[in-house]
Amino acid sequence: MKCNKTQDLLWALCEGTLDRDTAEALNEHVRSCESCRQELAGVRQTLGALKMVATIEPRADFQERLRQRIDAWEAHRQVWWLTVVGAFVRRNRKILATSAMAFVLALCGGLYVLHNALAPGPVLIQQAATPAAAPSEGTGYEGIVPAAADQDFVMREIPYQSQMVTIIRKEGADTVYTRFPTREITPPRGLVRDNYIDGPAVTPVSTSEPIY
Amino acid sequence: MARNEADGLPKLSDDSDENLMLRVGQGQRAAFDEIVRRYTRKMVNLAYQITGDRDQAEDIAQETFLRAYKSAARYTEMAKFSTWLYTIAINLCRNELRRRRFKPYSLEEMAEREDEGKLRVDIVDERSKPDADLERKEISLFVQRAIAMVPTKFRVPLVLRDIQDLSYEEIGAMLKLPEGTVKSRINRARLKVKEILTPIMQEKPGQMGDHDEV
Repeated sequence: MKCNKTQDLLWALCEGTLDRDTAEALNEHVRSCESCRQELAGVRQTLGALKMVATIEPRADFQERLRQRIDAWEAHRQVWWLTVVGAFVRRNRKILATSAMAFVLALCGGLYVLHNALAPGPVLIQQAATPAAAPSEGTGYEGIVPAAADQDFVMREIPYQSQMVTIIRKEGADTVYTRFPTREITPPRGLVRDNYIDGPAVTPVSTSEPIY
Repeated sequence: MARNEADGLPKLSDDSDENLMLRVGQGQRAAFDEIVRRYTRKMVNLAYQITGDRDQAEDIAQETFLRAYKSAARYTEMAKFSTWLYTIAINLCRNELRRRRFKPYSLEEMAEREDEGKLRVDIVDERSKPDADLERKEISLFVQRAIAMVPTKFRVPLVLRDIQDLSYEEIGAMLKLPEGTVKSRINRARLKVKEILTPIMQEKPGQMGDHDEV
């Protein structure tokens, strides 16, 4: 056995954790090697010194102090659920209030939208299956096209000169308006273009009976 | 094993650590008192030998027991109770040492620590009769200081093996390390302690204690 291999083994030899054969070989080597013998002495002294570390006694009130700490923890634990719920409400008061307000607003908004969706909107007359004849010459309706049709008007679209013109009649009134989609359309005789609003407009002249 | 007449359970002092802990989980406070009685000295000394501070050692031991008590309801016999308890204590010691590393010291404290780093060999007055007890205390102090100079990573397994007398297997379980690593770290710690103590051992031959070969 060589010296460089014995260093680590000396500790194990002193601890008694070496197998028998290795222990005997090591002891044999140490007996004949001064350097390893001194090293072994140092190892034994170190292990012996480590055993001399003083032990301390816990203070007399150690167990009593521990008991008080455990009692305090137990007392705190018994009301933990109150603390947890209370803390949750306190911590989230603003969030809870904001959430409730947002819910109410959302509900109002939804009701408003629903109300509008269900309310009757403007009635559009379906386009005739067969387009009505274009107004012939001589008949005339003139009218100022309103800026936008609203619920008091009934609208009807008819083809005229390859375009669709809109006949708009105010309900309960005799006035009929005709809206031409572009300026290029030549209105029938009797219809006067004036005041183009959203397209050509015509000035009402007179009306008694709508032709459509 | 003696049993209580009332409930047929063994007497607290005769019951195993594991059974006692299960009884604590069922609300038996007296069972925990018995555990504390059994392990107080070990826990306080373990913490003292690792941290080198007596007051801290008692605080750490108390905290170890408190944590064990809090976890009682969840305790199962998956691990040996002592291994479990030691693991709690070791982690608390490590936390304390880590906390100290970042604690700013005053200049005075730093100077004191520098002095502690140099082990002084007091010159014994040969005319006076040495008090054997005093000698032993002095040596113990030297050794404690030498241990304190070993890095934590190597110090903890050294204390567990050479002072607490735990097996390599138990130490491996506590530190979650393979046995080979445990042995290697312990050997490095021993070499460090030997290196520090060699001048003193030469000064006081035969007084440093001796380890009998097995």
